[in-house]
Amino acid sequence: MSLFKMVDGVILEMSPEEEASIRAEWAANEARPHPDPFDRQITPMLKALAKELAEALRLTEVEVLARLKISWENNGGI
Amino acid sequence: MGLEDSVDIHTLHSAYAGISGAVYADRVLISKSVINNLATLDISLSPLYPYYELVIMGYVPVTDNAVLYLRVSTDNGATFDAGVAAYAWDDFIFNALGTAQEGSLGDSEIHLSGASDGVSSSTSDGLNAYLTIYSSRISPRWQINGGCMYKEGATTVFARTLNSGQYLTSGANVNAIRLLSSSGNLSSGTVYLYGLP
Repeated sequence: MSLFKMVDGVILEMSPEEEASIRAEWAANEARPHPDPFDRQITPMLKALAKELAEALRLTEVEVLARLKISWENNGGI
Repeated sequence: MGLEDSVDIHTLHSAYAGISGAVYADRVLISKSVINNLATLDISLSPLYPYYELVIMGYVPVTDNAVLYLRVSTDNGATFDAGVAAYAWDDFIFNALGTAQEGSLGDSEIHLSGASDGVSSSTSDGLNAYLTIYSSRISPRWQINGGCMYKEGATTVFARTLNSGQYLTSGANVNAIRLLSSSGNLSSGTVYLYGLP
């Protein structure tokens, strides 16, 4: 199926070169791994806190972050 | 001044000489674009105003969770810069349950809906945005900022974002913008561009 573009209100069919270019970009983006939304929560402060909690609770930092993630998800994390 | 004077009020507002002698004028609707399964939407920034308002209403992508991208042109829309570090952008995403910050100091586009968690493809959701463009006429670097509201495809919660982005080439004469999705067509929505004299 052809791709279309709108230029200042006028709909035009894309040239084969334009279509190949944008399809290649879409394919590259789709192939890229989708980061976990929780990753954007891990600020330097949270990482430092996780490290301290891990030492206090005798857990690993990964285990602490996993528990924090569950809590974050249960609270409708963004 | 009574209601019968409302026409005169409008006239005054359209060309009002302030205390500095500046003349104020209303914003001008430059274009209205109705999206219907488009790979790209290109809009000329012409004539060249100091500021523009870009209003996006009810935008929905074909692909769920695809990010809405913006690129700029300096050759009247013949090409749009997709260089690997042509743009910088940031957003602060929030709702009543949490916050997060995302961004890039060098990217091939400005992200209008997050780093990788994009817009829901449900027609009952849709992205609404109100963005101000600071044109090459007044800013050394072309910049855009404002706010968006949409439901993320990934987390299925409504989010508001405060967005800012800039084209990193100083002094570039940006004269067109392109909206596109990170994956698949732009499905539906309406985009208004206003010029602010």
